Amino acid sequence: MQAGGGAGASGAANPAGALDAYTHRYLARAAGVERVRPGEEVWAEVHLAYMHDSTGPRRIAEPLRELGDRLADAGRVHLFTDHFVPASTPDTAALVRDALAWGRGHGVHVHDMEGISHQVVLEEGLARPGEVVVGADSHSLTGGAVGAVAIGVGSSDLIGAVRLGKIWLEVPEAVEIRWEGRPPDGVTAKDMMLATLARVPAAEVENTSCEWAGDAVYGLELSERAVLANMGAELGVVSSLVPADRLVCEHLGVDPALFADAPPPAPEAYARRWRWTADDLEPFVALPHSPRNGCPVAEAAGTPITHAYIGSCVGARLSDLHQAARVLRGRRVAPGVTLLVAPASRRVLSAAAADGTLTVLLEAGATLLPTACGPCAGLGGGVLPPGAVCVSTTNRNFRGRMGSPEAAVYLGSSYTTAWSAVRGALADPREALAHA
Amino acid sequence: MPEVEVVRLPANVDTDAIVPGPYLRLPNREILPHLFENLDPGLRERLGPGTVIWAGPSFGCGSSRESAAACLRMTGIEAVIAPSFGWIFYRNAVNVGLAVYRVLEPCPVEDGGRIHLDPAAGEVVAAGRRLAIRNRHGVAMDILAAGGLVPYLKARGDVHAS
Repeated sequence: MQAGGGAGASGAANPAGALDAYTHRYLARAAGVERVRPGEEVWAEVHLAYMHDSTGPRRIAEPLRELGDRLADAGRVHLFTDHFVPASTPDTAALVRDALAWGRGHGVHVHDMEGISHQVVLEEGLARPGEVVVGADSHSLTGGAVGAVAIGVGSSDLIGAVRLGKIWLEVPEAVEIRWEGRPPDGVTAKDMMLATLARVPAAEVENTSCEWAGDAVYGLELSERAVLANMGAELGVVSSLVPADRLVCEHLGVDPALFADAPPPAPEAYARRWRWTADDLEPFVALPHSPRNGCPVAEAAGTPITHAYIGSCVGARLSDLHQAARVLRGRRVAPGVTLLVAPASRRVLSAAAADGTLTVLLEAGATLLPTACGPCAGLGGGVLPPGAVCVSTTNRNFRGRMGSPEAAVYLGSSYTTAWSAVRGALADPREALAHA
Repeated sequence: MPEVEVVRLPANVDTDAIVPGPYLRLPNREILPHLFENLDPGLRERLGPGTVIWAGPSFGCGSSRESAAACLRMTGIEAVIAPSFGWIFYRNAVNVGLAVYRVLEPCPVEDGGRIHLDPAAGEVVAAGRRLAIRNRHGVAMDILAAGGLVPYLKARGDVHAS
């Protein structure tokens, strides 16, 4: 349903001056101008620039040397190793070694094997409300979870961002996606996201900046909001922002007066708006081979699976592991099914070990993988063989992404993934939660 | 005003169609022979100086891989024309010096037809019609005119090599 003219409470209550979407307010501030309008070009200050072992030094070192090999502010630049670690070939081992040497040599913050970059950016509080975050990876939109304008770029853009400390941007249109109500038990941000992807026409949302709203969004904890931000990449948006509320401001020690109490944008601030309720939302899965192929899991239930994967920058936070453990406690993965778990970061792994979650997963038959991108990006151990049918908490199920092009991947929440692993077939996790 | 040959492509040509994922680990020069391999294996041979791609909407949607734009530039084609581009692809193209022009009207000539491309005048002349290039001015075009982001930054006073 597209939310025609229904302005709702937020529109009526708006004082003058709230005409601009959050994204446009923040870009104006970063560009040092009063306002920005869609279609305008601006040079925006970059508050955080980051890269990883695949997009980073191997691609930017040489061109940066041509530009004097200096950084505008090394303190704002972070390098993560997450794609090729732990290295599985001598070539990639050398690549990681060289990336680390470049990072240390240039005085940037180096995060070696701390976890997946986008997760560590949130854990360390590196992305801040209202700031401009630029990452050389398409899922760098994740910082939008705390109300940052976080965008993913290619390697050349990163060179400009670290060399100049600024980035040129054509200001996108803003759109709003509003989820009202409250998702039932067993229904998560991942289900909201897969439903959104299935419902919003690509042509109406691509190349816009998306802003999330509604009680169902603000009811999510930070790690769940990160799902809405992260999978903005699959929506095809420039940035995907959950406006910072008190929860985020308190978490990051930011003055709520600047963000949480700011007047919300009027409906006119958005080129298009969509609105749904989460009250009756069901667990969703995306069928092979596109994240947009979503449907209620009930419609695909019974499809036999061979693999289940809990991992990636979108689906392996502590909350995901808790969801999986709630389903797996006292149960066993079905014979013939391989369940792999790659926590999103070292910190997530430690917390899951400390609170007993890890033991539940291992006793259910899960195998632990390193805290890195791994099979989600077709890297390292755990990739899929031909003929595999995998249910996965990751964000992309493109053909061949997780291994063989002859494998089929279904995307779902951790609840859905864990319960399907127990049943040996796609299954609605609410069956398990009723007895958990 | 140079005359160029048009290679027509459909809407929604994504970056995986331009550079298939499995080749991403190779250097761009080694990716080049595989360009558009899954879309049309004969396509790569047609691309070079004196040709332009004229595609439907959302050309280059998909991933952030810069090699899609970089390899297209390496073919020597004069430009890619489309009503709209994937956001990251458009930026990557500008940054690597691949001319990308937004023309809103559908391509009026057949595949293999000839058109006049006149960026200086901000237009394309095709089948007797003058069609406006919409992205004529601004930072992106300055970067393009410099040959890409690195040459552009080199030419700026504030980032001279020390």
